[in-house]
Amino acid sequence: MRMLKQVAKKKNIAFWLFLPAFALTVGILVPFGYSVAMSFTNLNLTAGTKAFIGLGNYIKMMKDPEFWNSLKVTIFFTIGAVAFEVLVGFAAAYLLNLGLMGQRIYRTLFLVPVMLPPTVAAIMWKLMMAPIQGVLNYLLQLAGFLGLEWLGSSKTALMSVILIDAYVFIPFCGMIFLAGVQNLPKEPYEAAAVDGVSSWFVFRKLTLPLLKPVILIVLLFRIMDCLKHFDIIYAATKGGPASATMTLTVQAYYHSFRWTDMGYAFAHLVVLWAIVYVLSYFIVEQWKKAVAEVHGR
Amino acid sequence: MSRFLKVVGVIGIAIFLLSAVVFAQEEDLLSYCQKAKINWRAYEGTQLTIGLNKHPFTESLRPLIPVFEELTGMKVAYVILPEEEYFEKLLIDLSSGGGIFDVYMTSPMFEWRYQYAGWIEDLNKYWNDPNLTDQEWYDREDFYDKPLRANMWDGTIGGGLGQGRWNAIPVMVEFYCQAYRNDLREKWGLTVAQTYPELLDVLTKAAELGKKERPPVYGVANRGIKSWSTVHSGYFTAFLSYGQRDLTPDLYAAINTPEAIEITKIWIDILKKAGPPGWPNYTWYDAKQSFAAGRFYEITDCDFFAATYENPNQSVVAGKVGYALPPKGPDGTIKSNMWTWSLGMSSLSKHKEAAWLFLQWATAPMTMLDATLKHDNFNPTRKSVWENPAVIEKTMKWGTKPGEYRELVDAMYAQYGDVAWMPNPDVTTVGDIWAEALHEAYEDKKTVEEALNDAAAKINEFMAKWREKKE
Repeated sequence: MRMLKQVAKKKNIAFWLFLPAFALTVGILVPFGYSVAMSFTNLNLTAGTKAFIGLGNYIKMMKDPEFWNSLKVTIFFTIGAVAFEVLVGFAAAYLLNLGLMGQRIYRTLFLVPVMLPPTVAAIMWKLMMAPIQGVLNYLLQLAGFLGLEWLGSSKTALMSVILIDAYVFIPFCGMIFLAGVQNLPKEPYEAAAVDGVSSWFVFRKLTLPLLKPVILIVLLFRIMDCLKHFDIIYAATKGGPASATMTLTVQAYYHSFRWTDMGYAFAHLVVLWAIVYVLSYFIVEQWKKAVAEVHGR
Repeated sequence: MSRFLKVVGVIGIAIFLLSAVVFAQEEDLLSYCQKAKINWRAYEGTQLTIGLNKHPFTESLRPLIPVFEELTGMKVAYVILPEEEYFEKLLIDLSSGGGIFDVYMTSPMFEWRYQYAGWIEDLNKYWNDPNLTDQEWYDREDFYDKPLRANMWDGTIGGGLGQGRWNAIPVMVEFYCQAYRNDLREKWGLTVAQTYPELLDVLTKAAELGKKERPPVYGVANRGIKSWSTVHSGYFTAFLSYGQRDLTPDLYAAINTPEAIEITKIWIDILKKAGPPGWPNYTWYDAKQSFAAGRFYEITDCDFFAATYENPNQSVVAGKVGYALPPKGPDGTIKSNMWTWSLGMSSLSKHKEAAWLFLQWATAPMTMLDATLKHDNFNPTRKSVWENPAVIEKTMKWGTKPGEYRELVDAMYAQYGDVAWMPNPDVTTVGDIWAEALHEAYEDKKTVEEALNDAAAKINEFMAKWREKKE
C-alpha cells in the first residue's frame, strides 16, 4: 500500500513537472496550427466570411507582384542588416577586447541601444532623419554635403531602416562575439607568436575558424530575427515609400490589421515561417559541424 | 526673508484666484448639465474607457472630463495614440472581441466597416429612451446637417448615407482649403491660385523664391504617408473638383479616368516641384507643425489647422496667413472632401447606458462650447457654438481680412464640402491602395497612368465581394 502511494506521489510530481512544458508547447502549437488552418480559408473580419478555399490564398499569392516584391525586400533587408551588424559587431568586439583605457565604460555604453525598445529607437531615428528638421541632415550640411531624404525616398529608405536596425542590434552581436573572443584558447596563439606569423594570418587561420560556432550562432539569431522583422520598419516607414520597405511581415500586417483580410495575411506568414524554418535548420546543421571541428568531436 | 514670504504670498493668492476662476468656469458646465432631465448618478462607480486619437479635439476634451466625473460619480480612463496607431489598436480591440473601449473616436469612413462587422452601437436606441435622454436639453437640431448625416448609414453599399443607423456623434469637422503665407505672397508678388494648373505654377515659383530665405521656405506642405489619409485631404479635394469619384455606382474603381489621370499628374508635379523633401513619410502632424514653424509657403490641407497657425504660442506665422477656397476644376467646379471626428459606442461595451451618458455630456451644447472657446476645438459641429459671440470674436481675426476664415467655413458647410467617399466597408483599404499609387508615381516607379491602372485593378479585386453582396 505504502509503495503504491509512493508511486502515485512520484507520478504526481512528474505530472506537475511536465505541465509547464506541455502548456508551453500547446501555447505555441495551437496558435500556429490555427494560423496554418486559417491560411486555407477566406477569413475576413469585416465581410464575416470563413470558408475553406484550399490553396486559393497560396495560388493568389504566387500571382501577386506585391508578394514577390515583399519577399525581395525581406531578403535584401536581411542580407543588408545581418552583414552590417555582424561585421561591425565583430569589429566592436575586437576593439572592446584590446584592453584600452576606460574599457568598462565603453562596454556599458555600447550596450545602451539594445536596451531601447525597437519602436522607440525607430521613432527616435525617424525624428533625426527628418529631411527638413532632422539633426542628421543638419550635420551633413554642416560638413558640406547635401542632405538626404532618408526614410522619405524609395532610394534611401531600405538603407535607412537597416541603419536603425543596426543601431539597435550591433551591441547584441558585439557582446556575443566578445564572449567568444574572450574564450578563445591561448595555446594556439602562443605557438603562432613563437613561429612569428603575421596577425592577418593568425586572424584568418586561427581566430575565424575557432570563432565559427559563435559566428553561426549570431547569424542564426540575426537572420531569423531580420526575416521576421516588423516593429522598426512599420514605425519608421509603414512599408513605404512605394513599397521600398514592404517586408513580408508588414505586408501581412496590412492585410490583417488594416484590411481585415486575415486568410491572405496568414498565408503570407506561413510562407515566411517555412523560409525561417529551412534557413534555421541549415544554419543549425552548419553550427553542429563547426562545433565538432573546433572541439574535435 | 520677509520679501521672500511676500513673493510666496502673492504667488499663492494668484494661484488661488486663478483656480477659483477655472473652477467657476467648469462649475458653469456642471450646473448647466444638472438642469437636464437625466439621472446622471444612475451609473455611479462605473469606470468607462475611452479610445482617443492624438488630436486637438482630444486636448479640448481632457480638461473637461473631471466635470463629467463629478457630475456622474463615474471614472473615465482614456488611451491616446497617434492617428494610424490609434485606428489599428482600435481595430484589434474590436475584431478580437477585447472590448477595452466603451466609447471611441471614429469617423464615417471607419464606421462603415465597424457597422458592417457589428462593432459599433446604433445610438438611435438610446436617443429614443426617455429614461436616458433629455432630447430638448440636448438639442440635436443644433448640429450642422452635413456632419450629423455623415454619421448615419443604412448599410447600403454605395449609398444610404444620412439614413438608418446613427453610428456616432460629430465633435469636430474639417474641410480642405488653401492656407498660404500672405506676407510672403506680397513680398514675392504671387497670386492666390484659382485653378490647379495655376496652383502648380504659383507653388513652383514659391519653392524657387523660398530657397533664398533664411531658413529656406519650401513650397507646399502636404501629408504623404502610405495611408488612405494621404488621399483624403488636399488630393481628393482636387480630384472632386475635376468631377471624379473614387468608385462607380456599381463599385468599380474610377480613379483612372482621363480626368483623374490629368489632375493626378498635376498633383504629383506639385509635390515633386514644391512639396516637402521626403514627402512619402510626411504625416499631417508634420505638415501642420512645419507650416506653423514658418518653413512652408502654403498648405493644402485641413482648414481647422488655422487654430494652431493663429495661436502665437504655437506658431511663428500667426497673423500672416491667408485662407482661400480650393482651386476650381476645369469647368469652374469647387468641391472639398469633409472629415468629421465623432464619438461612437462599442458594441462590446459592458456599460452601454453609462457610455451613452458620457456621449450626451461630451457632445452637449455647453460642453462643446467650452471645448471650442476655452480649449480650441475647431471646427465646431454645433451651430450655437460656431455662432457664439465669443467664438465669432476669436475667429473673426483669422485671415488677411476680418471674417476671411469664417466665410470659408460657412461656404464649405453651405456649398462646397461633404463626405465624398462612396460608402462601403472597405473604403480605407481603397484609400490605402490609392495612396500607394501616388507613392509609385511620385517615386517614378511607374507613370501616373500605370500606377492608377494597377491600383484600380487591385481595388476592383477587393471590391468584388461587395459587388457580389450588392447583386
